[in-house]
Amino acid sequence: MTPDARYGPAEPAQPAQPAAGAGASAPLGTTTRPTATALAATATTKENRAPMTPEQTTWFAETFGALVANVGRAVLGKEHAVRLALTAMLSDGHLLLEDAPGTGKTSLAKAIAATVQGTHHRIQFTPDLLPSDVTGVTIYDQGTGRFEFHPGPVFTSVLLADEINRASPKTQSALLEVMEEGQVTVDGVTHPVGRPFMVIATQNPIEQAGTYRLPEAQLDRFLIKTSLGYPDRASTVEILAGAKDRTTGLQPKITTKAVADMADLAGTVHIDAAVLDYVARLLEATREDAQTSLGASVRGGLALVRCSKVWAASDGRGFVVPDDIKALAVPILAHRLVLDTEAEFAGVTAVQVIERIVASTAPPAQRAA
Amino acid sequence: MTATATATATSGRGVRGGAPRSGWPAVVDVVLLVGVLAAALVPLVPVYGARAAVPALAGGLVLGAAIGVLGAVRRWSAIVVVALVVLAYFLAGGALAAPSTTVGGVVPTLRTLTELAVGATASWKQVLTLQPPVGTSGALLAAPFLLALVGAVTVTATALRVRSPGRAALAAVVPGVALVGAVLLGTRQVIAPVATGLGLAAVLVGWAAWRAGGVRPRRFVALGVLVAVVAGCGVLGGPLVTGSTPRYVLRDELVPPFDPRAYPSPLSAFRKIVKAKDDPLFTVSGLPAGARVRLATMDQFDGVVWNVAGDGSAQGSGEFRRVGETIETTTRGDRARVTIEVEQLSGVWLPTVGQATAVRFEDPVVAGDLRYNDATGAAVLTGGVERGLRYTLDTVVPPVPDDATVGEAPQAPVVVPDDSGVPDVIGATAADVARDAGTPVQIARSLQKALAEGGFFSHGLTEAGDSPSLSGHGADRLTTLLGSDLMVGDGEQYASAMALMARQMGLPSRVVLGFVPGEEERGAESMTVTGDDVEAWVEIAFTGHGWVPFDPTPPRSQTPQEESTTKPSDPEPQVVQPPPPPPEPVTPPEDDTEQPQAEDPDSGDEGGPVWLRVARVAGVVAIPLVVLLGPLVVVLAVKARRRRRRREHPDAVVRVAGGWDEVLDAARDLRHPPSPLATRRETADELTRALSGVSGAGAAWSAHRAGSVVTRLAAEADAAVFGPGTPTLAEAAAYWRRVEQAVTEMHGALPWGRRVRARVSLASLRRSRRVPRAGGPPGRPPRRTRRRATPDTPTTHEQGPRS
Repeated sequence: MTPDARYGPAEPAQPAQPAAGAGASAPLGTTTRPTATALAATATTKENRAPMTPEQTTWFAETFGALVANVGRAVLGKEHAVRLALTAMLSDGHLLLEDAPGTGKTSLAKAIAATVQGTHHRIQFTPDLLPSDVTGVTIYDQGTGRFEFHPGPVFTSVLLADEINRASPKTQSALLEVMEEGQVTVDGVTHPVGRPFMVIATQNPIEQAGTYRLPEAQLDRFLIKTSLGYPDRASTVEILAGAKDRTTGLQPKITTKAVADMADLAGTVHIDAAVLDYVARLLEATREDAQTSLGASVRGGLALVRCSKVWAASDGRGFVVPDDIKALAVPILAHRLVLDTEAEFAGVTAVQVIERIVASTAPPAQRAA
Repeated sequence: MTATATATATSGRGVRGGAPRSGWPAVVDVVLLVGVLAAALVPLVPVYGARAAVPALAGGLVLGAAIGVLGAVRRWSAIVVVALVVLAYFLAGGALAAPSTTVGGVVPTLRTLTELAVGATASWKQVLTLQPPVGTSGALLAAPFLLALVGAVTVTATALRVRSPGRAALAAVVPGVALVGAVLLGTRQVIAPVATGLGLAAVLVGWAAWRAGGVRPRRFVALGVLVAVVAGCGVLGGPLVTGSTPRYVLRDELVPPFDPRAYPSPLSAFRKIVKAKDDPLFTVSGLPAGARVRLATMDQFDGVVWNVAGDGSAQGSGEFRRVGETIETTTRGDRARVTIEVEQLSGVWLPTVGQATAVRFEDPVVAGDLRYNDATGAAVLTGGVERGLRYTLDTVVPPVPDDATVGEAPQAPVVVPDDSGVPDVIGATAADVARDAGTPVQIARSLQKALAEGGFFSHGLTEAGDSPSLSGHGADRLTTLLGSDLMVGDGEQYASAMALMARQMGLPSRVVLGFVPGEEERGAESMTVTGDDVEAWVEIAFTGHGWVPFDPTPPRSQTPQEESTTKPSDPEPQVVQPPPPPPEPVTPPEDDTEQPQAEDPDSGDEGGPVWLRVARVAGVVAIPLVVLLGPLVVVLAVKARRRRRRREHPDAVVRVAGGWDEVLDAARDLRHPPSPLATRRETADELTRALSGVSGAGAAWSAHRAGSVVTRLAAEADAAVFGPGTPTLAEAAAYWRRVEQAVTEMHGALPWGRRVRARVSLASLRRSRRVPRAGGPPGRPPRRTRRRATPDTPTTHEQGPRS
């Protein structure tokens, strides 16, 4: 029984046939495709899907590489973080960037938004931000005499939620529904957001005064949490030489339709039962670990599987290998752990716990029987 | 390194890894090695006798060990140590090695010093040439004293002072060398050789392993098994290999060679044998019809007697040599097996028949005394034959060609010893008799006929009624024989005369003393040969026919009594001018085939014994090889079986995964054990890094190729295992080819020695015990894969029943 089966068979989504030269300068045609939940799109059972063809994997890898290169023009020397961010996007997930100020969090988010040919909005979270400032409001139009919904900034392809931990919990939780379900319910009326829909949130771990820590439930909604870190010296020199916002010059490289197609295509990546078993063992290990009081949830496992498929496809493979899981375990699982108080007191971080668990869990070498 | 670690720990000095030994391990080293050395020198004790040898050996060992230890503690240089050894030799040598030259057995005199100086080199030879126990005279004990002294110094100095543990372990070789030396110098007396050898080997190898730091406690089970196997092989195989062969000692080799001239001419004993006419000399059974029994072959006449040259100076008789189990011969003829049991025959000469290919004695001790002359087929027992001696001859009896067969064949170009004191009458008579003869065989025949038909037979035993006939065959006797009115004599005289006459005519000839069984016994299965059967005849060598016998002795019935009435009237032949001598024998170019020792090699029927000997030698060589190489072969076989199982697994996925496991095992054998917690890619990266650490351009290139191939193999194995579908068998086969290429490249990056070590390494076979099985969810029985795969053919489940 794979974790996927919980969601049952989804509608058979035809993977997009890659157009020749996709990922080149001309973006693909823009059609906003209203879909059901993002999860259902990727969490599918294999029986209804034909596995990726070698051509598809090659196309996927090339397109992914082009996106990485494009974003990399704005965010120098951070290819791994860029890949993770794009993986989150193609997995229909959301990204949480946590880092010190001035490391390029906002640049990354802006670069990703600029790379995708679609709308992108930015919300600067402050303590006095209200939920309606995020989701939108219903106002009475005196001209028509009707209540009219004015969509908020969440109705966009890429939403940059800057300094999300500065907002009050109620505003933060306003993001909850839209992040998880891709729809906004205002005054009893449900408004779906488009696809792709991605939230790139940033938060500053240093200034904790006057901030509201994201609750565990909300952290779990983020598919990937990663940090950028400071660039190396060569990149720093290059950045200093430019000395202006590099994101402004970026051209969109991919349409929203193509993003959705890629996400669908990634869902067809084959994952062997042995690898699923490996994921399950990792999850169990996080729960049984002495230094955690709360382990990774099944949602964490699902996220890991979903991302590993994109990660594998971006490497030109139609199947997931344990290395994908290993590479993604920290950014996907670490923020979902709640550490034991003693461990926390001893200075152990969740990243260290995940790294230790990954290093001590034997990856599968054989196909599951 | 455990041993060294404890060594340094106990010493308390804390010097790193390769420090000289000190503390308790050093004491163990010295006591053990000197003890083993003492045991190795024990074979020298019987040479001198216990009272003489023990002080020299013990003194040498104690002095040597003391110098070695002192040198190690004080860190003296090699020159100082050697000087001390020389000093100790001359100071203590008087009391220990040359007591007879000292004052009161202790104080060395000037003579002691000179004796010791000479004895350092000369005593070795003296020990070997004297009959043990040799005692203590002169500086005879210098040899064992030196062996013990130098051996002990070498052993202690090596074990204590050499820093590298591996090299220090070489000290274990010294007692082995000393043992070989002591055995060679020693006697044939043997005390429990297998047990001693195994014990010494076990102690030495064990010590060497401990010194080199190779002993680990957890290996003791394997060690015990190995020791048991080796001990078993030694106990069972030792007797098989050596059998009951006496120990090889140099003393035996120094026995002076047999010199037949030291013995009286066997032909002179002719009359003595004849006198014992009714005494059974020996019994012969299995004698082929018409064959004669040969006692001695003589080819040198010195004017008094015919004797055996036997020193190799002439090809005619060759020399008497020790022979092995079989004797090579190129003679062709009827094969026979003849058994002879000696009764009253005495002397050194051994009765033989034809050309022997093997002489087997029932008493193996006697076999060492056998000397054989392959030119004549004669044999001697240096210890003399005695009653009850029984032996079997495998022999080839060459056929006797008649004159027509010999035809015009020239005499063989055999070099015979020069004669001396040949009476003139011989030449005159020979020329007269053979004047009508043309071919060499006709000359020989005419000589034989002249003697056999013109002479009278008498043993000269007047008591038995024979006519008077003197014994002997010197020049005087032969002159009498040929010059008197009446030719009277027996085989001794007639054979001598004819042989000399033949030589005068240019024919190579020799006299044979032997036995021709009496008429009544001829053809019987077993016959008793008495003195009456003794006979002497002549053999003449012809090219292409070998030595052909001629009987110049008149028939026994042709006695002077009967013939005297008619014969005396025989006119004395007119002294005629000798006919022109026969043409000088021309040596045809092709006649080198008739060397008595080198005839046409017989390719066919000699194969058996040679084959057998080769097999025996191979067996003797093979048993230690098997003991040494056996474990390695087993390792290789186990690895080959593992490879075959992986390669021929019915499931193509498992087959590919097995190919990767093969790469991993190769890495384990190369001492780059992969982590069981690493994925294939990580392992491949790690392996590439490890392999790139080699030096040398060629090796580095090989390592680079191996690295890239391994990386690719890892990706392919992942694709096969975790990808959708199943690889085809052809893909699996292609994968395996790359696996083997990768393994070859991995080995190619290494020097020769490490490559061989990797091939026979146990590292990859051990892993299943040591580390948990890599990969696979816990609790999954590994057998399930195989069971699932067997019922249906591997190509059928495209999307296997996994969910």
